[in-house]
Amino acid sequence: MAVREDMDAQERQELHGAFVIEAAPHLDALYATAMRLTKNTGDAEDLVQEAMLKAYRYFDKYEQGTNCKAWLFKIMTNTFINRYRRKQKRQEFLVDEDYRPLQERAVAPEDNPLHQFFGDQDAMFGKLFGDEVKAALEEIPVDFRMVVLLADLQDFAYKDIADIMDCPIGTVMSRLYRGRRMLRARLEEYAVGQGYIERAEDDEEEEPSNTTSLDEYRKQRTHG
Amino acid sequence: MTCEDFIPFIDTYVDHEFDEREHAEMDAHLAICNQCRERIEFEVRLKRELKSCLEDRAPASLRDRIFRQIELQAASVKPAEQLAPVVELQPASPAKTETPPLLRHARIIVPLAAALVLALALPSFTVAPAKSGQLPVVEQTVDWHVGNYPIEVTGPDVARVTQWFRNKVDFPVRLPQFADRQVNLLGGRIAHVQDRRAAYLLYEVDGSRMSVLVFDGEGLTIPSDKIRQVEGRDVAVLNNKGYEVAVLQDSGVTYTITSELSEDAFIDVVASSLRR
Repeated sequence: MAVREDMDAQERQELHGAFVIEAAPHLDALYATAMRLTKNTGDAEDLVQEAMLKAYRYFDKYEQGTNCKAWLFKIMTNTFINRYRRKQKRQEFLVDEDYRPLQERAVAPEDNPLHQFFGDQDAMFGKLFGDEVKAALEEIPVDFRMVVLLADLQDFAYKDIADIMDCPIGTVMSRLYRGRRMLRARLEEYAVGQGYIERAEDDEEEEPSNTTSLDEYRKQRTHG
Repeated sequence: MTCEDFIPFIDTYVDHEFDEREHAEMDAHLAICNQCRERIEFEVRLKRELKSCLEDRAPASLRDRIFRQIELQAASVKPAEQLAPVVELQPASPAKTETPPLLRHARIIVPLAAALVLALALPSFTVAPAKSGQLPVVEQTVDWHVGNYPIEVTGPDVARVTQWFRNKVDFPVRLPQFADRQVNLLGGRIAHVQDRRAAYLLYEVDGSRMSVLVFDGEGLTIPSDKIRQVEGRDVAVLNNKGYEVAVLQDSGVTYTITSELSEDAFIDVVASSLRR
C-alpha cells in the first residue's frame, strides 16, 4: 500500500500503522550505517531522513512480511550512491581488481600479525577497539566499506547484500574478503604504531637497516 | 577435511552462510584442530567486537523530524478526506498547524465544562468525550502482540530486563508486578508506538501470551466511556480486532496491555498489578 489519492482514510491509516511497525524499528541500524558511509552526522541524518521518506512513499512496493530491513537498506544504499557518491572524487571507488579465486587469496592469512594476540585477545580488543575502528573503516573505499557494514554491523546474509547492492553473490564475497583485510591492515598499522604488536617479520618491503623514515626506524628500535 | 580445505571458508563459516550439513563438516574439523578452532574463535570475536564498536542510535531529533515529515506527507495527500475528527479539534493556532494528524487525534480538546468535571472524577487520564473512534495506540498494541516479534532481552529476571532498557528509552521503565497469578516474564524488546519508542514486554500467563507496551503517553487521550474502575484506579479497556486492550497510567508513564485471555481473566491479571 502507498498513500494514494484513491485510498480512503482507513486504508491510509492502516498503511501508516504498518510502516510505523515494520520500518521504524530499523532507524538506529540505518543511522549507524549511514554514519560510517557519510562520515559525518549532518550527512548521515540527511541520508536516513531521505531514505525513510522514500520508503514511506513507496511502501506499496514493499511486500509485507518480507525482509523490511533489507528493503530499507536497499533504498538507503541507492540514495547514498545517487546523492553522495556523485559528489565524491573518482578515486574513492576502487574497483576490485583482485580476480584471484578465493582459495588462492586465502593462502596466507596465517601471517596476519593481529594473531600475535591470540594468547591475549582481551588485551587486543581492549586496546584496539574504540574510535580507531571507525577511523580505520572510514579509510576503506566505499564499495568495500559498504559490504563490511552490511555483513558485520547489520548481519545481513550474502544474498541480501547482493540484493541490496545489486551485484552477484560472488562480488559480495570478494568485496567482503578484501574489505575485511583492508580493515585489518589498518588496524594492524595502528597497533604497530602504538607498539601493541610487532611488525610482521615476513613483510618484505620493510628493510629495518635501511629505512628512510626516522620515525619508522625509531619504532623498530623501540618495539622491534 | 584438512586445514587447507578449511581456511578459505573461514569467512563463510563465521557469517553463517553454510547449510547445516556443510556446517557440521566444518565443525568436525574444528573438533580435532586446535589451530583452526582458535582462528575461528578469533574471527567470531573480531566480528562481534566490530559490531559493538559501530552500533549507534539515531538522535531523537532525527526520529522526530522524520515522523513529523511522514505525518505531513500523509496529511497532504487529500486533506478533504482526512479522517473526520472523532471529537472537536482545537481551532488551529498558527503554531500548531504542523501537528501531525495522529497526534491531533491524541490532543483532542474536551469542551471546557466537561473537562473540569471529568478531570475531577478521573484524575489519571486526559479524557475525551465518549464514543471516540479507534485509538492508534490500541491498534498498535494489538499489532505488536499479534506480530510476535523476536525478543531482545530474555526474562524472567525483572532487574535484568529493567536494566536492559536503561539508555534505550527516554523514560523510566518500571515493570508491572503481577501479584496473584502465575505470570512469567519471557522477555522484552524495543518497540514503537506512533512516533515514540516503547518498551515491549512479553509475559506468559497460564500458557498464553500477554503483551505490555510501556511508553511516554503525553498527549494521549482516552474516550471517557471506556474507563472503568479497577482496584480503585482508572483503567481504560478497549477492544481491537477481538483483543481486549487495557490502558493505564502510572507516574506519567502509560502502559497498554493485551493478551489472549478471556476478558474476566485478563481484567483479573491487570487488577493484580494494581494491588500493592
